[in-house]
Order: sequence, then structure tokens, then C-alpha cells
Amino acid sequence: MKKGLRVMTATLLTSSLVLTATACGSKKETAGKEGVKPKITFMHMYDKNSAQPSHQADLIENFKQAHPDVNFDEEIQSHDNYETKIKTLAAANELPDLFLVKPSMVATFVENGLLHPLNDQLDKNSDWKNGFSEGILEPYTIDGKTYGVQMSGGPTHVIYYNKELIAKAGFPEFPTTWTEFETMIKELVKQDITPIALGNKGKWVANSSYLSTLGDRFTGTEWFNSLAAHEGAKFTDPEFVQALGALDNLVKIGAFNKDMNSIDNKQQRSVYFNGKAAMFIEGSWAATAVETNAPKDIVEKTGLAVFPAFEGAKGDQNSVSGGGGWAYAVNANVDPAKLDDIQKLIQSLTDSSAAKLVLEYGDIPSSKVENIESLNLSPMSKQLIKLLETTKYAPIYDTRLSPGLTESMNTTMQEMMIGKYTPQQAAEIMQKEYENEVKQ
Amino acid sequence: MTNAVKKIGVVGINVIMFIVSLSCIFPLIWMLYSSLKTEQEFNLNIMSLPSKPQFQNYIDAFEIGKMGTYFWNSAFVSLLTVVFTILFGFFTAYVIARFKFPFRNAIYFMFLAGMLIPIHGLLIPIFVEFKTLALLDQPYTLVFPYVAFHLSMAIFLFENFIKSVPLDVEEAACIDGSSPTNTVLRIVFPLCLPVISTAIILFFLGAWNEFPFALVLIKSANLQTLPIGLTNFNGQYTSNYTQMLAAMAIVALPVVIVYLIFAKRVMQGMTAGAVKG
Amino acid sequence: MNESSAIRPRRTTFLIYLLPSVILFAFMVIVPVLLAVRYSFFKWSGGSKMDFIGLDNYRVLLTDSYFWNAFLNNLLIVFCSVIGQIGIAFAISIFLMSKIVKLKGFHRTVIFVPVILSSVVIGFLWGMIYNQDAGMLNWLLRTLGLESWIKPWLDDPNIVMYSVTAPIVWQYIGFYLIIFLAAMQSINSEIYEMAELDGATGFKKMRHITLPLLSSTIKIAIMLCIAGNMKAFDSIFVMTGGGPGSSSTVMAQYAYDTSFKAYKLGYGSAISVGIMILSVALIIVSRLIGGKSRD
Repeated sequence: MKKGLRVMTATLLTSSLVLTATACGSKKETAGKEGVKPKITFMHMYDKNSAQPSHQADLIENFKQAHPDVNFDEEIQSHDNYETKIKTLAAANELPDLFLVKPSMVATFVENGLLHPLNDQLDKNSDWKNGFSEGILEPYTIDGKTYGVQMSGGPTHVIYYNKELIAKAGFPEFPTTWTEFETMIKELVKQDITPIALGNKGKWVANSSYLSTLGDRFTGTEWFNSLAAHEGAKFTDPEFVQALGALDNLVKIGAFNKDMNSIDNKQQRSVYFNGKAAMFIEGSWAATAVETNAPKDIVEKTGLAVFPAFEGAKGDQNSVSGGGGWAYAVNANVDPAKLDDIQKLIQSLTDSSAAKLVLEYGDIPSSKVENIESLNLSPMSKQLIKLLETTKYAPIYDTRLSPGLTESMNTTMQEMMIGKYTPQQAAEIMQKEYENEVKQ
Repeated sequence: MTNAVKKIGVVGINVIMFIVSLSCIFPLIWMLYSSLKTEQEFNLNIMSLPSKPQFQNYIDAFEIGKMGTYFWNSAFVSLLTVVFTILFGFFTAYVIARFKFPFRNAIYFMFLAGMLIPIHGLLIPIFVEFKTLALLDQPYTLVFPYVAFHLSMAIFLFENFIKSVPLDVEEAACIDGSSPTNTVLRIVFPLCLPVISTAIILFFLGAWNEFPFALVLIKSANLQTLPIGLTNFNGQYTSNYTQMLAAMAIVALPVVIVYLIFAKRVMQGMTAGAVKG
Repeated sequence: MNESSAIRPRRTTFLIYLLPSVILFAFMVIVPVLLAVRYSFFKWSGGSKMDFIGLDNYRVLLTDSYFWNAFLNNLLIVFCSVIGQIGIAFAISIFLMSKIVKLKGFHRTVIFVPVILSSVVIGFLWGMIYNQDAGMLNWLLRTLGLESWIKPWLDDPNIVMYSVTAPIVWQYIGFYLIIFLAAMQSINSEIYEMAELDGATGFKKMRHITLPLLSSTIKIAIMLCIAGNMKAFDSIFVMTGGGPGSSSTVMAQYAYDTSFKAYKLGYGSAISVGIMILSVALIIVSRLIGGKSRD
């Protein structure tokens, strides 16, 4: 009996060691039998049976029909599950051949040798490669190698406002300066209307849809590039602290609902849909939700805008955070025999003909589309496209900075917004986390 | 104490008990009637009754959400989990309760310590292990961790119970020539029925509602379980609450039914001294 | 310990009884725990690049204010649960054992219902109860004319922990109720009868007979309560996501966020190991306070 137990303890210890060892080396799948193409493993989050319409699901389906000889082994997870799962798979070095990454994952994945550079694939078709909107692949590019190809990704900051309610507050047109904007908010507060419905339970809304734009307006994009490249910019630089201060001031003048931290981004829309709030701020993706879920009269009253200009701030005053988002990426250990089909697939999901469908679904595509006028677009999409003609993209903080730093920023900002920290203190905490990461 | 004061006290306690009980049943009722509302109705007032019951939410849940497939997968995994946890747990607990052997206490506490483990911390190690053992993404994959993580509670319950059962009957049976296994199965196991009912509910519930392992260890859509299916109703940027509530009701009802079937027995199970320490 | 050679099975049979559980448990629970311990010595962001850093993760953990804040949150939940769940369940079980409460079967059946609902449903529902404008709680306060009591229940960092603890306490009252009812019903009724002959009434009966006889059951309940609440996660996550800021973040969520959101898998494992150590420690402490342990 005693001996048995000792043997077992030994077995357990060894097996846990063996398991760790094998965790790191993944075996390559051998190519299938002659004539039959090997299955492409593909993980994504676009379910063709889902209630939510998805251009990518349609495009994937189209590709399958056009290429019956290509076999897939698909895994489809909903968005939140996808993130947990992809990280587990990455940790165990078990990523599928083709999957989705966010810009913030790219650096970590590349560092661990998990991603296959796609430059050769992009070079195969210059129409495709040159068809992307300018700079759209930049967030996925490290040292000249592009690791991700994006299908759609509009701005993460759009103000959806109720024309009637702001007119009542004395603004028949959306304010053009920040001072006016704050005046309008104060007026709305007086009228007992929630100026901006905010649902920041997920913690990313304030970062993605507010601070990324605010920050760029104050610091300029150069600051961010310097920060990301560790070339001297600091979170504690006065411009960035001013941006945090602008957000903090919105809280102080009562711009948001009291329960902003216990409702999520979907609930913030409900508040707006019920006519209780004059605005909500989210990415371009929310346009479809407004059109399908809001009562008709609200849809008709809805106008789109971006933050007005800050007087005397350093950055471009027409910048809007945007451009990042999910993109297709390929496993570094992919069987080279599969690469041709994978290239065809990615192209069919992201090129300019795919982009038309993306537009028709109300999203902003990554590839340029000719003759937009000829497409049958919803009024909201048209408004959005018109708005974007006057703006330029700035980096989205939470898709570009490291996941650890983003997590820390999100939490710290929320703490600032409940009054636990001043903007200066919040900036110092972010800076400390940033320095810790550099050190390691 | 005067009679009047006593009466007020009695009424008071009864009223309090009713409030407590109502608060416990209300969520279920709210979920059921809210799942029959339209999304717009729900957004306007979350408490109101549906103006016209919408069974469409349920139809959508089954058709769009593929709740049917998930349902059977969950049922399959949960049933196997219950059967194996009880079988393994019972025999192990019997041995621990009845006999002395080396490392008896160590083994017992090892099992008890299992109750302390934060599952989310083990997702990656378990994934790595399953991958190495080629156990990922099989119909029976989830049964392994579910049984293992419920064993702690099973052994705890059974051990406590078996200790309270007098030895005489078993001894008598053995002296009459019944083999030990025969005695255990014929005499001790039936005596444990009350605990078994408790165990059935707890383990069925645990397996039925489990989420993280199901997410990480299963890949194919046709093997996924209900809790994963539920999350499909909640997109990153969209959600349909009433449809989600319908889906939640589909998830909750079987457990409630299982519970109601065994409820009486559970009470008896506990009554019979299941957890006397 | 009862030990009878008559019923002792042969050695092989004995092993067949014991080993399936032990082996399964070892591979599904012990090996992953050992792996987690191993990972906790590395700086690891997933993939094949693992840097051994010895005890560095633990050194950081010791001074990580977020972790200790989360630990305090867990302690609060444990404390409220021990008082709330076990206390309320104990009181209700006494009511249900007495003759004054009507419809005992109904109460017993219904109070257990929240136990069987998933934490996601519970969290979702309580989120709505606490909702600022449309929530039931504020509606009730308004109706009762207690406007000044209206609060952003999940948004005020000073009260959010109490707000998220209430549903946890409420959900598991039924579980402990059943345990207590069971134990009480197993108390021989003759004891009570004799006590009544000696003139003991309601409260005295409880104080001098029920409580002492239930002491071991209460100890077990406290242990289960600590074990369960040290890894609390789901319902809080649904209600607040751990916010505002980190006000309602508990240890398990911190571990999850660190591993799966911030990609610090080594440090995340160290946090998980920390949770286990602290849980064991807390149980040992509760045992020391509560007196001699069993066996």
C-alpha cells in the first residue's frame, strides 16, 4: 500500500513535468492523403445561424460554396468566449491554422513565435494589397512584417445624439467647441435629462470610445507613437493628464448617469432609446443597433457627431480613434500546403468586393470601395460615411497597448471616474504599470 | 407572555417566512414571464407582465440558438457525471469511513481540499493535460473533470453518512456468507439513498451549469453544452434580453424539475443525518 | 474509528473501491494544481517563451495592493456569509422545527430554489433589482417614501461590496437550511421532552440543547461556507464586472483577469496558488477559533 502510494506520487510528479514539456512543443499535423486537401482549422466568431447579421459569416459561406474542394474544421465561439479560448490555445501552443487577433495581441503572439507573416500572401495580389485604406494594416505590422489582415473597423468613437433634446437645451446644431459642449451638458442637467448615457461595466468603453479620442486631441498622435515605441513619452505628460482631466470634468459636471459603472454598453443604448438621455458614445458598430432596436422616432431624431474641438489643444482636432479591431491571422506552424487556400480565403473576406457587403451591413470596411453612391445603404450608414469624410483616425489605446497595460488603464480610469484618484494620480498609476512592463 | 403578544409573534414570524420564501421563488417566476415579453416591452419596464405572451422567444432559442443540441449534450454529460460521481464517491467514502489503512487521513483531506480550488486558475493546465492525453473535444471529455471536481463533495457527504450507519447489519450479512461487495451494494448502498438524492441534485446542477471547462475543452459546436449556448445570445455589441431569458429558462427548468422530483428525498436525506460531522 | 475484520474486503477489492476516485482526482485535480504551481515560477505570456524567475511572482504578489484588496473583499463575503447564511438559515430552521410556522413543506422546498439557479441568472436578476432607475429596490424605497435611502447600489464604491454580497448570502441560505434541518431532526426528541419537563422553554431549549448538539454541524457549515466564498466569482462578475474600478473585484476574478485579459499567465497562476493557500489558512484559523477539529 505504502509503496503503491509512493509510486503514484512519483507518477504524478513526472506526468506533470512531461505535460509541461509537451505543452511547449506542438506537433505539426501531417498533410492529408494524396488528392484530398488537408483540413484548414479555422476559429472565428461569425455564426451564420446567429440572430445577429454578420457579413463575415456570409462571406465565409460564399467562399465555401465557391471552393467545395477546400475543407474546413471550424470552431465558432461568441465574442467573449472567443477571447478566453484563443488565449488558452495560444498558451498551449495549439492555435488553429487561421484565427482572429486584435492589434494588442499581435506583439505578444509574435514574441512567442505564434504568428506567420502574411507579406508573401498579400504580395500575390496587388489589387488586394493596395486596396486597403491607408494605414489600416499598420497596427498588425511589426518590423515591416504584417501579421493580420483586417476586414472592417470603423471609428470606436461616435456620438449618437438626439437632435430634439439638444435643440431644447439651446443647440439646434451640435456644438463645435468643447466649451459649448460642456455648456450644453450643463443645460441638459438642468432640464433633468441625462446628457450622455454611459455603460462602462465592461471597463473598455471609457478607454476605447472616450479617452483614445480625447487623448489624441490633446497629445497628438506623435505622443502615442513615442509611447508605444518606448521613446520617451509618458502617461504623466501634462497633455495626457489634461485629456484625463477633460473626462474627469465630464463626470464632475454630471454628464453621465449615476449607474454608469454597473450597466454595460448595450444598456447605455437602452437609456438613449428610451429618450431619457440626449447622447451616447460608442463605436460605429452601434449604428446598426440604433437602426434595428431603437423606436422609429428616436432613429429619425438621431444625429451623428464626434467630440468638438478643444481650443488650443496640441493634436489634430478632427481625429477620432479607430481603425483597429479584429483581423485574420495565420498560425506560424501552418502546413505550407494550406497557405494558398488560406490566402484565397482571407482575400475573399477582406478585399474590395467584400468591403461592399461590409458597407451594406452598416459597418466600415477596411478596403476602399468605389462608387459608394451606387450601393443601397441605410440612412445611418450614409450619415456615418459622411461624418468620416471629415475626420482622420487616431490609435485606439486598448487595441494597441499591451493587454496588461490596457487592463490597468481601464481599471484606473474607472477609479478616477468614481473620484478615487485625481487625473494626475491616475496618470501616475498608469505610468508605473507602463514602466514595470518595460523593465521586465 | 400574554396570548395577544404571542399571537402577534406567531403572525409576524409567518409573515417574515412568507417574504423570505417569496423572494426565493420570485426570480424564477420573473424569468418565466419576462421571457414571454417582446424586447421593446422589456426595455420599457422590466417588471411588467407581458401584454401578449410571445412564445417566439422560445422558438428562436431552439432554432437560432440551437438550444436543442446543447440540451442533449448537457443532459448526456450531466447524467454520466451524476452516475460516476456517485459510484466512485460512494465506494471511496465507504472505504474511508469503515477501514484503517495507510494515508487514510491524507487521502481524505486531499479530497476535501478539492473544494478549495479556484477552477479558473486551472483552465490552462487542464487544457494542456487534455491535449497531451488526446482527450479534447470528445462527447465524454467533460465527464472527467466534472466527476473529479464533484468527488470532494460526494466523498464528504457519503463518508459522513456511512459513519452514522451501524456496523451490525454488514457484519451479520458477511457472517451469513455474503461477499463484501455484495454486502456493500445490497445493504449499505440502499441505506444511503437519501444522501444519493441530495448528491443527484447537487451534481446534476453542477454539471448542468458548469461553464469554464465546457468552453475550454470542447471545440465542436455539436458537442457544446447549454451554458456555452447561453452566451451566444449575448454578442459583443448586441443582445436580446427576452430571447436570452427564454434561453435561461430552458437551462433552468430541467434543474428545477429534477429538484422537485427529488426535493422530498433531499429533505429526508439530510434528515437522516447526512451532515452530522 | 470502527474497524471490523469481518467486512473488510480482500486487498484487490479494496483497491478497486478506492483507486478509481484517487486516480481520477489525481489526474484531473492534483496534476493541474502542480502544473499551476510550476507555471507560477515563470514569466509567461503564453506560447513557448517561458522565463524562469523563481519566486519573483510571489514577491510581487505579497505587495500587490489589488490582490490584497481582493482578498479583503473575499473576507467580507465570507464574514457576511457565515453570519448571514448560517445565521439566517439557523433561525429559519428553528422556526420550521417549531409548531408556529404554517406550510412548512412549501417554505422548505422554495427556499432551496435559488441554490439550483445558475449564478449567471442570479447575477443578472440582482443587477436589475439594483438598477438605478428601473430597479425594484429603488422603486420600493420610493413607494415607501424613503427617497433619501435611494442609492446607486452598484456604483458607490463604499457600498458596492455589501450590495454584491447580499445576493450571495440570499442564494445559499437554502443550502445551509437543509443541512440544519437535517441535523435538528436527528436530535432525539426525548431530549427535548425531558428538557420541557424540567421547564425549559423556546429560547432556553435552543440555547442549551439545540446549539450545543449542532456545534459540529455548524463547524462543517462554516467550512463549506469559507471554501465556497473564497472562490466566489460568477454572480459578482455579472453584476459589476468587479467595478467600479476594483471595488468589487474578488481574488478569483483578479486571477482570471490577470491570466486571460492581461496575459500574465505566470503571475495569474501565482494568484491562483495564493488563493488556495489563503483558503486553507482561513479554514485552519476558523478551526482554531472554533475549537478542536474532528478526527
